[in-house]
Amino acid sequence: MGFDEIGSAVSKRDLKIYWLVDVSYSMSGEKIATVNRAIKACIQPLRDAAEDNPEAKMFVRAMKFSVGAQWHTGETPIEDFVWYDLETSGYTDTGAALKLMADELSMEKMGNRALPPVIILMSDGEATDDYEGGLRELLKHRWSQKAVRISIAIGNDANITELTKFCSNPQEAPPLVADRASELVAYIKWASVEVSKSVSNSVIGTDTGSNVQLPPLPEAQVMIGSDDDEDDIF
Amino acid sequence: MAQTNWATLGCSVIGASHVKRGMENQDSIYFGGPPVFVAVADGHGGKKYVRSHIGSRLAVTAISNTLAQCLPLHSQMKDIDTNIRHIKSRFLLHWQNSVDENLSERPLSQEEQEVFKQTENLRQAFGTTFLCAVAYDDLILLLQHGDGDIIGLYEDQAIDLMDEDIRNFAGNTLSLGSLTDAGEIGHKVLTKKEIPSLITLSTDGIKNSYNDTVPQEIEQFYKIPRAIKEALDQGLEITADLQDMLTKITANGSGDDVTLGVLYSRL
Repeated sequence: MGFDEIGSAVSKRDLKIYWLVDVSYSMSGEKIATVNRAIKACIQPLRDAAEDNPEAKMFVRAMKFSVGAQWHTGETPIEDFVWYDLETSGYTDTGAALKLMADELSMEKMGNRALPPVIILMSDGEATDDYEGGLRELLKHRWSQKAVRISIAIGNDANITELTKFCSNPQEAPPLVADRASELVAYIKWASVEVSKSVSNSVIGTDTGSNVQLPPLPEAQVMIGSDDDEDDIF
Repeated sequence: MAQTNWATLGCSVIGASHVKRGMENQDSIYFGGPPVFVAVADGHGGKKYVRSHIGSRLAVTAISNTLAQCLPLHSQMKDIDTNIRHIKSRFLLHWQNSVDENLSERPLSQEEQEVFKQTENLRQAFGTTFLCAVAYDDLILLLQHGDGDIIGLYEDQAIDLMDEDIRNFAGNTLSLGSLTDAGEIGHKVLTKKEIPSLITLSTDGIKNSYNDTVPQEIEQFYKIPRAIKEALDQGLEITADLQDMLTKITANGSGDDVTLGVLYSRL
């Protein structure tokens, strides 16, 4: 075994971004269309961010939940990622989504060296299953404690209490409430692109206890009063 | 096994990402004696830790001064634990005094101080981890505070010598910068058959370059001690090869500064 071979057997650290999307019936119409549009709009900026920070290998994955929860895409390097529009039906089994997410955060799957994953939960309602059980399952993993967990409330009927419990830093980054399509797009892009940049930049140094510092929150007020015809109110 | 039978080598390479960002190498390495020792330290390098490259250098020189001033350990010492406590306390005091001296000669700017809360000690700006292996006549003393790896080579097996501390996880680490109780510095004493033929001390940039969910990849990390031993047994001068290996590791792996110290038996 030579030094050349040992030095060549290395790889970049993984940065994983997860979108957990409520596809219950109430998400039909403009809400799910906006989510689809926003995630598509994130792909190129995420590719750019990945290129700017080659010390990390970026993967994305999407989950949908309604009656139960399923992965909508595999874990895919951002350069190969293709988005297939989500469709709606059924209930809001957020608890099942959190349990499915928990399976991905075991030490066996994540290992020790990954960068903190970014998990973005989007919902317009409240759980129709065992939310607390799902959350408990999620939070028992060491990586859950280090993950950047962000939630986005779509419209005013979302259960803010549930979404707040999901957040990794509810004081500094409580659930983002999107009342309009433009806000939802901005929040999804911020949570996906800007937050992943912050995580990615954390490779340059270690810290002594705090989790990843979040970038400044997007300014919702710039969108209030927008006369954009496509800026539907949810 | 007399401590004169032990020798040291090692090197440090600045991280590929640090070169790109115009940062200095935050790691430090030092070897010397008697007693023969090797120490490595990894300055945190984040925004708050503006002098962590100095902090890491002060850490490895602090242990050098400490070991020169403390009584040599041996396995029959009645009060070995007291002596180890003394080494740890003296080391921390040396480091803190050097940091305080640096701060008084060149205080942090207003801007550099702004990231600290009022209750926080400015020594945190020098935050660093610390690893050390010391060879005495019939024992090896290992010291560790913060992340990084100390691996021992036994026959064909390379194993972690220190217990995992889950506080060193996902970009977080224990730090000399916030340490107030020297007793919190981890240590281990190896005697008789516990003494390996070679010990490597590495900053986390090395192991973080190997994916530990892929067995074939992480196995390569644990092959480093064996590769060094084989090269040494052949009488090869290996520092340049290690430097090349570390350069590859940071360029294609973690991007972090990478430092490897080696303490090995010449018998």
